[in-house]
Order: sequence, then C-alpha cells, then structure tokens
Amino acid sequence: MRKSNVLGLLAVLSFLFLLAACGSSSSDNASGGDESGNAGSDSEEGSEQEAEVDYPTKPIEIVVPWAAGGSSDQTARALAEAMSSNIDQNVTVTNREGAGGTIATAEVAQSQPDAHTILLDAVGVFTTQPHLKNVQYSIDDFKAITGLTYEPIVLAVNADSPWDSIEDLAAAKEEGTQISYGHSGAGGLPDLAQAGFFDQAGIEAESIAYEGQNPAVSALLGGHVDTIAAHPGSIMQHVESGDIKILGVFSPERYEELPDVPTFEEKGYSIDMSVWKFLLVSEETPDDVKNKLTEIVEEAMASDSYQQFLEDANLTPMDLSGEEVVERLKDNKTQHGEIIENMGLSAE
Amino acid sequence: MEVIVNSLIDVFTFNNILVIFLGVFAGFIFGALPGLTATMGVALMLPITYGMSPTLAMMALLGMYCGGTYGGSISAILIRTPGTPASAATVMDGYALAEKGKAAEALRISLFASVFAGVFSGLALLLIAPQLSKFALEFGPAEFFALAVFGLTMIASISSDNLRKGVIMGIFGMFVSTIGIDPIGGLSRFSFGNDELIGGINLIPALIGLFAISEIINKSQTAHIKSNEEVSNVKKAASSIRTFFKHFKTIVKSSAIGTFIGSIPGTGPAIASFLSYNEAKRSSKNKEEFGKGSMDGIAAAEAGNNGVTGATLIPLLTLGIPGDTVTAVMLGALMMQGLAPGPQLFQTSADMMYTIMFGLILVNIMMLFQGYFAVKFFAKIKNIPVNMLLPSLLILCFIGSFAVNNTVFDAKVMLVFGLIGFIAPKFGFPVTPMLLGIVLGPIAETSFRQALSVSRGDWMIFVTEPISLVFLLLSLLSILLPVIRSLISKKTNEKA
Repeated sequence: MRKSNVLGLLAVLSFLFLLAACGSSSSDNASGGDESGNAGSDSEEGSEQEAEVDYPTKPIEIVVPWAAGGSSDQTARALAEAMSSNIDQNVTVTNREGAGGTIATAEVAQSQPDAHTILLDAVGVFTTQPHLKNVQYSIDDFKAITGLTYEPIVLAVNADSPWDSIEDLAAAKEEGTQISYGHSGAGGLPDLAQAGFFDQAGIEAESIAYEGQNPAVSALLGGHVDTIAAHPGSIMQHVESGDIKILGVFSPERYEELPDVPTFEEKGYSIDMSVWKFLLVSEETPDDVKNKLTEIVEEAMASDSYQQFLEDANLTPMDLSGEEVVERLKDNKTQHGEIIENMGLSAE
Repeated sequence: MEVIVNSLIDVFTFNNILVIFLGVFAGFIFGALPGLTATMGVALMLPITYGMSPTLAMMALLGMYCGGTYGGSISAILIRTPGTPASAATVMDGYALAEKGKAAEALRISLFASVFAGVFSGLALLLIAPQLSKFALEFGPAEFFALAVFGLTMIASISSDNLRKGVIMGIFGMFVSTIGIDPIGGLSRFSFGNDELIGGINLIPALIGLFAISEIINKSQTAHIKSNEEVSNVKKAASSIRTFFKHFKTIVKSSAIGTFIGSIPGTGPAIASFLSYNEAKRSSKNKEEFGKGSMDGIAAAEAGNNGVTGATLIPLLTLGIPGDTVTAVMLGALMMQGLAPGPQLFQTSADMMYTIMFGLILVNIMMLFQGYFAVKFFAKIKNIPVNMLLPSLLILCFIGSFAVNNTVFDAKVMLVFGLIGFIAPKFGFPVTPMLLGIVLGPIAETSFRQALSVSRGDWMIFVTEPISLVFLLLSLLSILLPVIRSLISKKTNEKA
C-alpha cells in the first residue's frame, strides 16, 4: 500500500516534469524520441523513397569518445536531435571518454558493431595518436560517412602582452625573451601547431600542458603562460571583451569571424593545423546501408535546428564525402607524424 | 538595478518553481544512490532541458546539482557509502552518529549546513562574482600545487589513530592516480599495454569500491544476526534548529571555504569538504569527537561541499570556463540554447544571468523544505532488513560504476577497490586518506610539473608566489603544530 503510493507519486512527478519541459517550448519538441506530432513532413517523404534498405531497425547510438558538455558532445547531441526527428528510431549519444579518444575508437574497431553504432571522431585520433603510442585501430577498420565540423586553431595572447602580431612575437628571438606556451594536452594539435611555429621561428619556448582547452584559456587570462593555441569558438568572447588578442590562424585560409587576423602561411610559416570531425561506421557495413545512413545524416545536417546550432557554437560545417575524409586523414597523418618526430615525441 | 528587481520577480513563475521542485527531488535521489552522482544526473537531465527556455533549463539543472550534492550525504550517513565523492568526509562522523541512533539528527544538521552554504555561495555569486573570478585567475600552477599539498596534510587529521598507516594509504592513492596517460607528457604509465588502463582509474568506481563494496561485505558477514537497532526519534530531532545555531560558526566558516574553493576552476566539492572538515577539527575544542560522531564535522563537510555549488558558477558565468564536470555540462546546456557564457553574456542578457543567480538561492530554499520532509522518509532506510538492503545496494553499485563510462572495466575496478577497502582497515590502514590521494594526486602532480616548466626548473617559484607561499606555510603549520603541541604537553606532564 505504502509502496504503491510512492510509485504513484513518482509517476505523477515525472509526468509533471515532462509537461513543464514541453510547455515552455513552443516550436520544437523535447529531446530525441518518438516524435509524434509536429516533426517535419519532408522527413516522411525521404524515408518512403528509400524503402528498399531496411535501416534503421533499432535505436541508433552515436559514440562520442569525449566527455559530455564538450564541443564534440554538443555536436553529436544536436545531430542526434535532428536525426531522430527524421526517422522512426531514437538516436542516443554515449560518452566513452579516455586516452585522447583512442579507447572508444579501439573498442568500436575491435567489436565491429552493425551500422546502428556510429562513431564520432576527430582528426587527431587517427593522425597524431598512432605516432604517440601504440593504438589498436587504424582508419582501415572503418568506413567514413561524412565530414562534420571544422574548427581552426588560433594563436592567442593576453591583451596585456607586448605582442600585437606574429612579427612582434617572432622578434622575441632577438630579445631573448623566454616564452611558455599553453595548450590542451601533450601531442594534441594545439601543442604541435605552436611547437612547429616556435621551431620555425627559432624561438626557444617551453610547452605547458593543461588538461583541456578551458584550463589553458584560464591560464592565459591569469597571465601564467605567454601564448596559447586554441579553437576560436570558446575564446571569441574574450576577444570581444578585450581580454585576449588573437595573432594568427594555423590554417591556409583566414577565419571568417576574424578577417583581419593573418594566417601563419601568409607570414611564411608553413603550418596547417585545424581540428575537424567526422562520422565513422564499422568497416563491415554493407554499402547500401552506409548510403542510407549517409542520407539520413546529411538530411539532419541540412536541418534548420542543426544549422542554428553550428552558428551558435561557432562551428564551421565541413563538407566532405566519406572517401574524402579517409584521403585527408591519410594526408594529415604523414604531415603530423613529421612534426611529432621532430619534437622527439614519437613512440616508434 | 531595475534588471535585478525584474529578475527577482521573474524567478517566481510557476514553471520555475515546479522545475526546481522536481530537479531537487531528482537530485536527492541521484545523490543518495551510491554510484549515481550529481554530475551524472545533470548529464542525464541535459537532453530533457533542450526543449525548455534557457532559464528554465538552468533551474532544472541547478536543482539537480544542489539536490545531488546534498543527497550524497544521505547515504553517507545512513549506510556508510558516500553517494558522491563530495560526501566522503561526511561518512566518518555521519555513520558513527547513525550507529548511535542519531541518524535523523545527523541528516538534519547536514541539511541545514548544506542549505546555508548554498545560499551563502549564491549570494557570493550575486554580489562578488567578478572580484572572486579575478582572484581565481591568480591561481597558476604554483598556487594549485601549494593548495594540493595543503589538502594532503589533511591525511594527518583524518588518520589520527595511526599517522604512518594513513600516510602510506595516501601515497598509495596518489600512486593509483598516476595510472594511465601522463597529463604532461602524454605517455602512458603502469598500463601494461592495456587499453583500459591507459584510460586511468576513474574516481567514482574507486570510491564505490572503497566505501560501498567494503561495507556491503562487512555487513553481509553479520546479516544473519537479527539486530534490534533503535531508529532515531524523528520528532525529537526537530529541535535541531538549536543545533544549527550551536554549529553556526563552523557552518559560516565552511561555507566561506567552500565558496572560495569552488570559485577556482579545477578544484571541486570533495576538496572543499575535506578542507572544511580539517579546519573545523583544527579549531574545535573536542577534537577527539571528530571521526566518532561529531555533529560539527558533518556540518563542516556538508557546508563545505554545498558552498561549492554557487561558486562553481562564478568562473562559468563570468569567464565561460567550467570548473568541473557539472558546470561543463551546464556550459553545454547554455550553448545548446544559443547562449555562450562569459564576459559578454552579462552585457547581452544580464536579466537572465540574474534570474539564474536568484534561481540558485531559490533552489536552496526549496531544498530546505523538501529535505525537511525527506529526512523523515530517508531515516527509515535504517529499518530495511539487511538481507534486502545489501543485494539492492550491490546492484546499484554495479550500475553506478558501469554508468560512469559505459564500460564493464569500471565495474571490475570497483570490485578490486572493494577488496582493498575491506582488507586494509582490518590491518589498521584507513581508506579515507587513500581517497584523498586519488583526488589530490593528479592536481599535485600536474601543477607541480607545470610550475617547474613555467619557471624553467626554478624551485623558488613555489615560495616567491605569495598565494603559494601562504598555503605552503599553512601546510607546514598543520603538520608541525600537533607535533609541537604533543611535545609541550609531554613536557608539562613530566614536570608534574
């Protein structure tokens, strides 16, 4: 008797919670799930045309090898939400962090699940990690579905610093200034990009590793390091508030939001490093299923809600086909391998 | 000013209050169940909040966060298993009190302390957030190292029976924290080529193992014996308003420590609660009582960890930098709402910022009411027959460990630590110092190596930075004072 009261209360409470969740949003429905009412009508057309391939037959899981709340996780969740409003199945996100993304990637590579498990990965997992340690996977264990997002890496200094440009910083060589540069972790692309620059500029600089980008940004704000390399998304507001200056971009092209900031290539340093993310499935996935999945993902990526998310999160979409993803990964791998070897970090 | 008044009014909408009520309720449950933490609850709640307005979403998450942080003390007190790492300091005194039949009183004081600390840190967020965040940025590698060292001296106060064994366990804990990828060099250590070990030992499974599993084994040995344990008289405990004022000084001090620690990104509630506990014990007149059922100890630990709740929002809202996993998830929630927390947000949507801050205070007030009634209910857990309680707990432990990273490896880690937690105390080795080592080890190591890189190998960096120097001196004092004091008392004894 007592127990059933408690259960009843629980049921009522959880119902109220959902009610509050839905009541406040006028336009779109709550999270993923069987969207019954207002899900877009164009999605139905899409699924009817492709009726030959029986996919998906159960909920789709997107594995994210990083912690909840990060930009990969946010991207996965925004995509999952857009996907589940187009298909009859739930799309869930599983976070399986650890060892720079290699644990989750190795797990998927070894278990070879069916196409209902999708892996979101970032370039470093395939291009730098294999040089840094022995990993139990390679790109040959996967088929790529599509490129997702692209985030440039920029070099930033505190607003109080004497340097206003790449030239100023390079001049530090003559002054004999000792520079310490912060980054999100040893062997990560922000580490390699700065190491490459200081090496080419002939400046002696000390690498200070932080655990993640946020601690590195606070170290720069607090004046504990001289420079950091980071993604512009999360530091743009410090640029706007006048606490941080961005000196250069480690990509061949300038960053849209910062048209006045030069690239390192323009200044004569050949460094091309940016983080881009993509979706993978098991290598054993049949081509027709893969095509169907690609279609579902591309449709979700074109949706208004996903586009809005990209804009809000300062992310640039990466328009790459599966084949191009694999090709580019192999290119990047050789390139990054050389820098890692120069730094003496190589595991081989 | 108008913005602030408007925000204050905005908080009191039906939807906000309803969502806070449910968030706190869910938080209690997540916090109280071993293995399910406030962090996990917030992460699970995240997708539900996507459909809500930004304020409403934050209210739900804050309710979960504060409720979960308090909830951790419920199981710590009742069944000696801290629901979250932040309640590990509560276990020692809370369980001792529960065994004496004072469970409800312990739960009440922990509730009052939590609520007071939560409101305290909420006010700090409202009034001095920009100043606090500036100060927090002063914390560089040297300062973090000194803080971690100061934290590690707490081993002395939580292993009073045998300092040597406490230190051994503390160092063992620090060793465990070195397993996996080296945070500076990126190389793997003690992993023996095993992919799972490369990922390192996660704090949550270790915590569940050390406290919950070991306690389950202990309890199951006597499960067949019918106990006629008395359950505390809940009505009698109503006088605990008076107890609250009795411990008022400790609670205020601990709230301040919690708020201070919370405002520094990368610290967290576990450190805050241990520091507060340590300070309460240091300044207490009845030191012997600590660890054996001190109300003051519970009040300190719980005020310490709930003082963190509001303060962690300081770096999040003012700088856009999340200080721990919970605020990282909240950052994600705000980003999904199209809001990027940071210096700009105060200019573009100040009204919402203030609504969130008032919401945090409201969450704590709600917690007081809900907790007041929930305590009566929770205290009854002590009445559940052991043969029913233990299997259900065991299941929860496995689920909790697995859920941290969705891997069976963490469940195995939990079992190994369960054995350590069961066997070590039999030889007089306390487990709490080990937990302290696991929590503080990585901070100490990383910041130590970062500091020496920044200074190009110059050790003077630790004493030339003022904040670092202060903490190192405090650590030295906290080690030396008890020794000196005991020497003096020995001498006076000899004279007499």
